[in-house]
Amino acid sequence: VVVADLSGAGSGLVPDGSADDQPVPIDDAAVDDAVSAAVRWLDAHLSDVQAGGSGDPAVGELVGESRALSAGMADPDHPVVAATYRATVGARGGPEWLRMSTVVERDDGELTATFVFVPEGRDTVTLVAAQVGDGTPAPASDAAEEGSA
Amino acid sequence: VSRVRRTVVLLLVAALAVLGSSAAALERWLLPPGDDEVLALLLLGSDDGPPRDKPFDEGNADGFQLLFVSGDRQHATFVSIPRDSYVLPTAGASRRDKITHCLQVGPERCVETVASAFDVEVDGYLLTSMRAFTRGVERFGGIEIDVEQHLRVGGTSIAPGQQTLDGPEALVYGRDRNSRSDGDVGRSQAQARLLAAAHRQVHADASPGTVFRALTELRRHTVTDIPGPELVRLAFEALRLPPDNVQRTVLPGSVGMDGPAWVFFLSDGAQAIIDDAAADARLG
Repeated sequence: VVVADLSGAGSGLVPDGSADDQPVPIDDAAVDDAVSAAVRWLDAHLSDVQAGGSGDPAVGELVGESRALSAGMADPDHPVVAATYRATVGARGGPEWLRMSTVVERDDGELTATFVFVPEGRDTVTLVAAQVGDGTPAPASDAAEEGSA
Repeated sequence: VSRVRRTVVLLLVAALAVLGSSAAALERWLLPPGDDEVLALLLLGSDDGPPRDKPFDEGNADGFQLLFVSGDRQHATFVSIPRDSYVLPTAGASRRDKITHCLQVGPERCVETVASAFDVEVDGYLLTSMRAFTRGVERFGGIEIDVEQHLRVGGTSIAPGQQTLDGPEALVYGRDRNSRSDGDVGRSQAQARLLAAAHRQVHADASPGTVFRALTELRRHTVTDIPGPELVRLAFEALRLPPDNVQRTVLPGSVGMDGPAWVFFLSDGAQAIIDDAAADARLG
């Protein structure tokens, strides 16, 4: 898990180095809860789709395009051997978004994807966007560029 | 009859094949917009903050853009409001003031002023300063735009032509009113052009990395009353918006004097333009 600081420290909105120019302390417990919620969502969703289901029952059935996208990552004919998640969490005190860089290993190869969530309360996340394939690099390199905490 | 049936079956098979292939090719999914309401955002640029002495949220709002986005996020219109537009700052005000002065009370007052002057309920504001804007553009990697003419503020100048403006150059593009023949009206239009260009740039390379880089710099270099997660939703919804469907206009009027002060008297058509844009985020 990498946390990207979204506070205005160093932005130039206030004088550099002033008391108002400090990073907002990260709520680590809230970040952990949000990441756990996202991992639960992805585990349940990929398992269900692989089993031929319609999506994560706990979240609600995914329909239309989102269903087609998920089905491209996991399906009964090509079982998932392992799924790895790397989380980048944008936080300004509490978490504001989660970027889950996902690598799915199947018997026919490896697929990458990015799932974007926003927290809804403490233990729930909502999927905002998902993209499979190119343009979904592992977040560690991006986080370094962002000067993550 | 059997030939007709066979033809229908073949067409159905072909249609299903097309549907199947498009589903398999799908690479991106975005959460559908939550409601069908037009979104109204107020984008403000302060003339204060470092290196000047006053806090950025107590300066003048020299950047004053109303952005309307349609409920389906398929259309958007920037309405640029010249800084000296002479309006009633609050519902109960007895005399008019330049709209730029609203920020001296705070961004919430500017939201109130927009409601009072134009009968627009703003859903959220974003406010930046000159230094923060400069750093934000720099960290994003610059903005690609076709510069119409030579521009200059202080020691920074820009030549005409297609180019990627760095932070200081982007500030000059959005700030220079002396080089432009139409002064603040032209500057105000340029600010909207700059924002539309940034959207086009993100849209052209809408990978998660690009969106998050834009989103992160936007979040870091502005203050807003829009909750962080909501800003994330809006950022990804912006990917639905075709850049060619982004329209821009500036409120019409004329420069005049009220006592000793130069002001911008909005013409009668100004309210009609705002009403038109607020209705469906489209002009005309």
